[in-house]
Amino acid sequence: MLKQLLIKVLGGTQKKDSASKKLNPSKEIQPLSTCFEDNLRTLQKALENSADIVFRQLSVQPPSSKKTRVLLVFVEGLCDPKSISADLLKPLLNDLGALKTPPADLASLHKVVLQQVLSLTDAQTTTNMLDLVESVLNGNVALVIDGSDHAILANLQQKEGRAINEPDTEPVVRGPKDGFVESLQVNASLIRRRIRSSRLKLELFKVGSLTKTSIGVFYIQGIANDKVVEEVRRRIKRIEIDGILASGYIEELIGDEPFTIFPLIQTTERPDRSAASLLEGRVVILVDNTPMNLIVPCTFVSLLQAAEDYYTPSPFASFVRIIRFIALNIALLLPAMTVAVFSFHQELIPTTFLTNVASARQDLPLPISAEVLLMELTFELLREAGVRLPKTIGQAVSTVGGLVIGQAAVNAGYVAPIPVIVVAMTAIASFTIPSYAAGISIRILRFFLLILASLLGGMGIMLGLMTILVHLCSLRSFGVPYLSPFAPLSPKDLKDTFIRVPWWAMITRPRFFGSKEPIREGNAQGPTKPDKGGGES
Amino acid sequence: MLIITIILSTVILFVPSATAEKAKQSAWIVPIVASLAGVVTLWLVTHLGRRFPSYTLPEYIQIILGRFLGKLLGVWYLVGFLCGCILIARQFVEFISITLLPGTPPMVISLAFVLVGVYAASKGLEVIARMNQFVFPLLFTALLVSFILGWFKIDLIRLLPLLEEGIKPIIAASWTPASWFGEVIFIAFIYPQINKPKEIFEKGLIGLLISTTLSILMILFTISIFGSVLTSTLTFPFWSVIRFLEFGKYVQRLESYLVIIWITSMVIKISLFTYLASFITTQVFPVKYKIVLYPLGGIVVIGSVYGFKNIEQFINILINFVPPLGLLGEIGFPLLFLIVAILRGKKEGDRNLER
Repeated sequence: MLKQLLIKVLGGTQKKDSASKKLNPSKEIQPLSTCFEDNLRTLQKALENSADIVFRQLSVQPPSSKKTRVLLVFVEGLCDPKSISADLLKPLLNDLGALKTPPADLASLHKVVLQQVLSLTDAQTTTNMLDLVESVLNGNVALVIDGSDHAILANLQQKEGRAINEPDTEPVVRGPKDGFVESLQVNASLIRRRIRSSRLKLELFKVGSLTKTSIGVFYIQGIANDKVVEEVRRRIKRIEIDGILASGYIEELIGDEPFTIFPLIQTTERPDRSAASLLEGRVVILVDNTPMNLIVPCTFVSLLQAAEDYYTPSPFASFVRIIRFIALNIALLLPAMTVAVFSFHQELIPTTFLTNVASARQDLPLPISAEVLLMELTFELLREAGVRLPKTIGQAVSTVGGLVIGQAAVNAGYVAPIPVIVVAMTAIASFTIPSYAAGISIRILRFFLLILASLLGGMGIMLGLMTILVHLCSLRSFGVPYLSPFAPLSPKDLKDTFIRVPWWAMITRPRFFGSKEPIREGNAQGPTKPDKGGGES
Repeated sequence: MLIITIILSTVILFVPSATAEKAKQSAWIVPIVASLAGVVTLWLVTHLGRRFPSYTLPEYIQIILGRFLGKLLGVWYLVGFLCGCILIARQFVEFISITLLPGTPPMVISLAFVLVGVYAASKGLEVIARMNQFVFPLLFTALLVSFILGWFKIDLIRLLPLLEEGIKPIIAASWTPASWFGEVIFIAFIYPQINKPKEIFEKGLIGLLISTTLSILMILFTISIFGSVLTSTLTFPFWSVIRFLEFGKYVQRLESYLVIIWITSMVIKISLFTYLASFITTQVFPVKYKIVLYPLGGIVVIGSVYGFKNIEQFINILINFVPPLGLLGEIGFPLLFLIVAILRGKKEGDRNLER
């Protein structure tokens, strides 16, 4: 009921029909004319008041016919000026005249130009004016020839962008250090470089009526569940929006559950991680202009797995996983537990310690629940301040906040030392969670549990946890239960949860991603000792 | 696979509360006798289920007994499960207000508890089953740890003399736990939703077996630690046992762990019962599930707070009033249904003729 109300408040589903009409004007065809002036006029009208669009007119000399006018249209900055002059202008002005076979007439001149003159890797023709305009805005160079109703679209996009460097959000000690950049082409190549199989498929979609952002969907045919792939396609096609600027838009638009604080789609900046997910049978969604790419389906456990886990030796990786799991519990529960124990269940504190605590708390102005809440809020403030400020000042904030405020507040007698310790522990523990998105949900839930604990004590925490459990159990990410492999239990897949078994034991793919090809490696690949004395005989 | 966890949890999870409030000096043989009721119910339910594989109990009793009588009995089950909810909520309130939150008004505790249950029930059966799966290992380890630690404290002499007054008191004492074991009746209501209906009888038996074993162990430990006299006077004997346990100087106050587990199991139980109560309503009356759910939750809260005067009256009802009615619904009626169904030769597919 609440959900329906929220949906109504947030913009309603009824308006959808009228909205879709506005956003997607039906694509009409407006053919190019054979008259050069007409074409020029139409183009200039379509692209008027755009100072960054260049109209360049040339006059070329095809063999054994009169001079012909040619129009080049492109967006300054999206196209590479060097290759325009080298690959378009030079051949047109020099090589065209040197052709041995003259073109039959002007109308077929574009064919000759395309096939025999231009030294381009990617070029095509169009007869539609709207296609032409769109393609120019995408960064292609359009070539309109006098007397021909075919225009040539040459892909001379300038590859400009950040160099590939180590991802900031998911650093590793061992393992590859390249991260995604903003360009979809580069990102796709980073994945393609890792999986050199023809079964790796990439489907492209254009989303956003104004931005026309490219969305790439990667999957391995035969391993990824067809239903999931189909569902991804369907949901992406369903999107009707004016613009997509980052993968976060897509994440919210194609998620399963409209209202949840848990990330139902995994984000990553690491190509190796994306490739690993593809091998598990998942689907990777690349969004142009974002270094953060999406992986679906997502399970809760996968948010606690770091890329590093698979590169370090198995015992160490398992150890770190367990530590991380404990940290998750601390980050979620420690403040709430502290409040519950100190204000409701003092009998759980050992007696000697209790007298200490009691005497320390004697002169404090606030009850412990208010203290912990206040300190947690302070910490969240500091954290937010640190993120938004320039990096150099950010450190000053943490020094002032952490050391000065913490120490001074205790000395001045506003808070007891225990809440400060608790908040510090919680903060450190929450930093060990690999997924930033999961970290945010834990932060919110921490406050939820903290408030419950200060109202109802231990019972409040338990009921809160049960509510969270109910919610988690009800979640699905693209059809996969969020708590797999725990609930529903699939014992085989526990090999990659609290522990990470050695690679030679990772025989099957996770069952819950619906792998059609369950076996991922040969049996009995474990290292074996060489036969005794084998070397001597 | 849904079913095994449901049985395990519901039956086992009952037992801490069941024994905690019940386990009399009549000792550890009680669960063996009592679990027979569970087996009988399970047998009846699976047989009825096989006759009508795609109908739930309230649907097929309308076929068997005709519309009016069927609806009437459907209402009877509805009231039964609703009372079950109220009893669970009351148990929860009693236990929490005695052990954890002595000063909190029962209304608040009950409200918070039922709210969580209703939330879970609103998500449907699958979610409840998955919750079970998640919680069950925790429960199992908790009990295991307490048994291991309890091993150092037990004194088997306290179990003697065995069968001092013959078999009669045992059968008399089995009465109440029998109705708890009979709660496997809930399978009849979810039968069409079970993934592998053919395995249900065996899986159900395994579930019953495990829960019987665990409850025997719990009673054994309680009596051999406290003796029968003390056990019968304690309000929550097993809780006191756990409280008594310690390991060295460090592992103490294990009862808080038990309470955690107990709360989780109670939440699962109430969500299942709330789900069933609302589900039956939708099958007997033409109403929507979500519309029924919230008012039912409200009834449970009010009933659990104002329904009983004090814990004495509550336990009295639990022991003397519930078992006969419970067993009637769990064994008596299903038996009747099966006999009538066989006599009238009703099977699935007859429904169309009936209308």
